[in-house]
Amino acid sequence: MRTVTAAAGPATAPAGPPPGAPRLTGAVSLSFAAGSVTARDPDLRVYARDLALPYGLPLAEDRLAAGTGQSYAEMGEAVIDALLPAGQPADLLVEVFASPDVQPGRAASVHLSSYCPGRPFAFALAEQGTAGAFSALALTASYLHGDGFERALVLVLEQAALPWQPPDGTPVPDRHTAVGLLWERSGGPALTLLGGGPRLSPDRARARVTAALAAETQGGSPLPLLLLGPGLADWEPPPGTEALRARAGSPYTGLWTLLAEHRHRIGGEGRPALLAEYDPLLGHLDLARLAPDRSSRT
Amino acid sequence: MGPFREILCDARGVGILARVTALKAVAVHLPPVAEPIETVGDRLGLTARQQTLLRRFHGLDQVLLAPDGDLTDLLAAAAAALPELRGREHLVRYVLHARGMPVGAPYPVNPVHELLGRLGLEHARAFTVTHHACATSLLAVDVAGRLLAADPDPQALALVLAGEKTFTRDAQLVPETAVFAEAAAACLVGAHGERDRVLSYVADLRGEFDGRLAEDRDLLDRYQRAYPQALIAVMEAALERAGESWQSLALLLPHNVNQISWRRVCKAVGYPLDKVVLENVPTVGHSFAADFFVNHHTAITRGLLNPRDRYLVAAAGLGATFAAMVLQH
Repeated sequence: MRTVTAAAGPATAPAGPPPGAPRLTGAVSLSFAAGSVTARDPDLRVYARDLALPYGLPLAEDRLAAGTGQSYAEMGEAVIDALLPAGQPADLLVEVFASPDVQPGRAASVHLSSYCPGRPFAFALAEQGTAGAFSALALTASYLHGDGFERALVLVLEQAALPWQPPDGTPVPDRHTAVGLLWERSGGPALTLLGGGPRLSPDRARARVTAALAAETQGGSPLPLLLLGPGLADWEPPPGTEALRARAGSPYTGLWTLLAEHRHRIGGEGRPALLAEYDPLLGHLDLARLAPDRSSRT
Repeated sequence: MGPFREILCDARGVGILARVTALKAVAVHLPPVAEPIETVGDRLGLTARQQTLLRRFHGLDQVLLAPDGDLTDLLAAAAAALPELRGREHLVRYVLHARGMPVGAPYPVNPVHELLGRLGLEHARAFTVTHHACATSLLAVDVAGRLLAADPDPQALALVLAGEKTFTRDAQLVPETAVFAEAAAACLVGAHGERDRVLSYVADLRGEFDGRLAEDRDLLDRYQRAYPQALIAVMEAALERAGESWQSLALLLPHNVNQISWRRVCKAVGYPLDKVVLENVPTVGHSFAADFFVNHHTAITRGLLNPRDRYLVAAAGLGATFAAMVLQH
């Protein structure tokens, strides 16, 4: 965690994961074509009106009338069904969102605690843009280090039907996506958070990703597989780097969908993956390394 | 009832799992407008009987409101009341908003990030923790302690903010129970220090109470029936984990939902009501997750805590979460 807040840049030499680093043992990304019936709750309009109008943001009457929004509780249930099919108990559930649930007043993670095997301790982390998922991972490492927490589920959620009109340039998902990342104390690639920096310009953020890539290869280590979030979609990494790019229409889940889709490459190719994400609204850069677990590849 | 989740902090700061979480300073912002319960009741369309119930049975009198300004202004006022923050901004690594309402600003409006510039904390990581409703401040203190424990600088700090706007009906009223107010608070949390160390934190998440009490009579009845025992259970679990008992406990800082519920709880466990900080229930009102800090501030300013006294903080949040934390002053 200490490198997350470092302002001096991410140029750290590659090293093994810290003791007790969370291991990625499962991942799934689900998209939802249809909306939730809860999007037609007339009280959504009341809540959205009372919330948005004082800030001068008009309601999105077309989206409210269409009722196409999705419920984070229902999306989370689907992830739990997909990721914990054998009823494996989880001890921790952290829900991360940046754009709001279509049930904005609902404590969805508490509901999901009762739905999830193990009735995990649960809470939500919000309003940190793309950095929110990285903060959730830092907290996951803390919980897994302590007694009583052996398996953690991080849910990164976004739904496309914002009930008000945001200012131009606001990243808004173009589809409903839920990503579940399962973390344990052993058994999969190990996570190391590498920091990044707050309030960076796009150019400074890209320079830091370049420096992080260079640091990864110090000592002759192989170039990592580079996973780029939507905030870095238009960046060209140095020649020779294999970069995978998240889809632009999933501003807060795109990177994690990419990870879910390519998780087995990280375990199987014997080289680490470097995850990089930049939030264009908040200027936040986050970097993380997932290193293959040589003792028990998945 | 689900299994308790407990987070132990070793007050000695030793051992492989040792983690000190300490409240370094607490400040409160009390908004300027005091609105009588009847005025709020008229605005919400409550009947005369319902208003009488709130005043005479629940012991409510008025709520403090901040009609001018938005959520960012409210939280900034709380931070401005915290002189211990001045000159230590560079030590603040994290800024957390402990929020009861899961969505309290229209995306992309982001009050906790807007605050960073006003407070000279642009270098800090800032986010909102939520879903424990009015018990979220206990969660936020624990989360802050976890983040600081991983920081190599022992002087590193986290700023936890609490307080919300009563912007919609669901943020104004808990049916037959409470009326919300807009007091706000700021708390500096550190990973070292002797005063106000967290000794135990226990939470019980009860998703079976997920729903809107205002629209579901059966849910409201079930929640009201379960509430006293569920709250007592987490308080006693937190006391046990801290090696304390009702007899040894110096003070109880409640959430300010109303007076009657605490009278019943105290009667059930045999704890003297004069050791419960209830004076803010009628005068300030139930200020979401800020109640923890509002009552802590009262306890300190009135000299209700002596060095090494152990005290209990307890709160329940809709959804539902029951939580308790034992600290040592």
